Amino acid sequence: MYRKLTREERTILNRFFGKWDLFDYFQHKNLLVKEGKVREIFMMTGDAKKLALNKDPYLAGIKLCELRKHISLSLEGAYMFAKNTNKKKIVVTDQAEALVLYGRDIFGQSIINHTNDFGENEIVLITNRYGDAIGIGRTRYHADKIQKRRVTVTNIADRGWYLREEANFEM
Amino acid sequence: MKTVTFSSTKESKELAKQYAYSEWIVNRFLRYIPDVYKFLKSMDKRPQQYIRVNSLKISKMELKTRLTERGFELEDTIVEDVFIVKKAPHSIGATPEYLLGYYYIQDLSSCISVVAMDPKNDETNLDMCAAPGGKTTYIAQKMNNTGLLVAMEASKRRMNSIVFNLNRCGVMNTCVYNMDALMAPKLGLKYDKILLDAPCTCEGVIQKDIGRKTSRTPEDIEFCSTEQTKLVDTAVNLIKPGGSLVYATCSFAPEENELVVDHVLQKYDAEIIPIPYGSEGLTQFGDLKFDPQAKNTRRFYPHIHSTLGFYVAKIKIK
Repeated sequence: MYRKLTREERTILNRFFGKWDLFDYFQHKNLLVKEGKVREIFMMTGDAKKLALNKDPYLAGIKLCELRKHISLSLEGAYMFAKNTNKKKIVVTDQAEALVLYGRDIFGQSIINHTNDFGENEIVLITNRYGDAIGIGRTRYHADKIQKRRVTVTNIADRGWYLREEANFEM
Repeated sequence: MKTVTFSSTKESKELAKQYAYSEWIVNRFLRYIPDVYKFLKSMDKRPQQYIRVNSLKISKMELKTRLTERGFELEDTIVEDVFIVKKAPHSIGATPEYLLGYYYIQDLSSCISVVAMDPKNDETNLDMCAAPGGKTTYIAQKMNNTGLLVAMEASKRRMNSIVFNLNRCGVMNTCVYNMDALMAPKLGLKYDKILLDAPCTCEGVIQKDIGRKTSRTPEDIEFCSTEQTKLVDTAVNLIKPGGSLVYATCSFAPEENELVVDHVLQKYDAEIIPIPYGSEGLTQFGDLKFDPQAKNTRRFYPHIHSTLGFYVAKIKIK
């Protein structure tokens, strides 16, 4: 069941977007909540939103994130964030890109660039050298204390999921 | 409508044995497929692989550069968004670019049905039998992620695949419904353009599934043809005046193709819009005679067009 965001949900999301410098980007986007085991936020065109509110679809638009105790970004949400913000990002080598897509964690030496705005135990976007978000990670160290020979970012979600899941689908 | 069959001949017996088909199928192929010996040989080869660039996320040039760096060799095709994969150092479905939704592995003929549909920005369009979402994502791409695209899929088990592909490809203008397309009027919408890639006997994908050489019966064609006629009737009644329907199948059977289109031409004020690809549609088969406009529909054969077997008709509803 898709529905409009409540005022409280809108406030929580705005705060979250603001933390990523994306308040303006998302201000006029069409977002709906899909009620289920968890509340999921979907982004879609205005026409799709109108229909989704009127005739409940199986899917409308793209899943941006989940509203739990904390907000957890979806892979597509992370992709969109990475294209539009310069906050909390790490850029990994080509070799590490392949490993991340196999679900592996990231060593400090695999990071070729990063923003300086994250602390320990924070969510970061894992991108390749083109700036594409290939995953979402959790930092183990502050940005200025990255350890070359240690796992520095834990892989929380990566786009290799698509390949791992695809095998279970009936196409 | 009974499926057209022919009496057994020495040639049909020998070819059926040589290429391991049910004889009734080969006997039919002999009557309407050009250069049938070459055709039967080509059906035993692996199909050519194509990828379609998802321009919602990346430009054609950039994708080509990236995949070339990874050792793939790509060449242009007659469809602007589609590359033929000439050389692949590993599976084309296992690159970061694939996982990022930068391309879709999709046969050229399947893309042509969307090119024929010609979706535009801000339209309201319908994809009636949508899973796994290859054509849906291409329609959304052609609409530049604007307007409204409604996608329907009857099979619950196939919903995961369409959700997966729509998300991966960044499609935002689509509402997906797990419903039989015959129930489409329930949504109360009228559409500018409709794509009906109808469920069929899938003779055209024998290259991917050789079991289909013997697993189908004339009754299957009859059943599919009846269902396709119901679907096409539903589609025509959902189109806005002046709108169009693209009807497609991955079958060679004239009863699933030209006969269904002939039904539309007889029943409604409609005309076939020629498509600049493929071979002409049939105007007769056995005792069946079709509207002369059926020749403006298009057939795709593996041995002529290097695609899977496919049929496309663009029908304008006046």
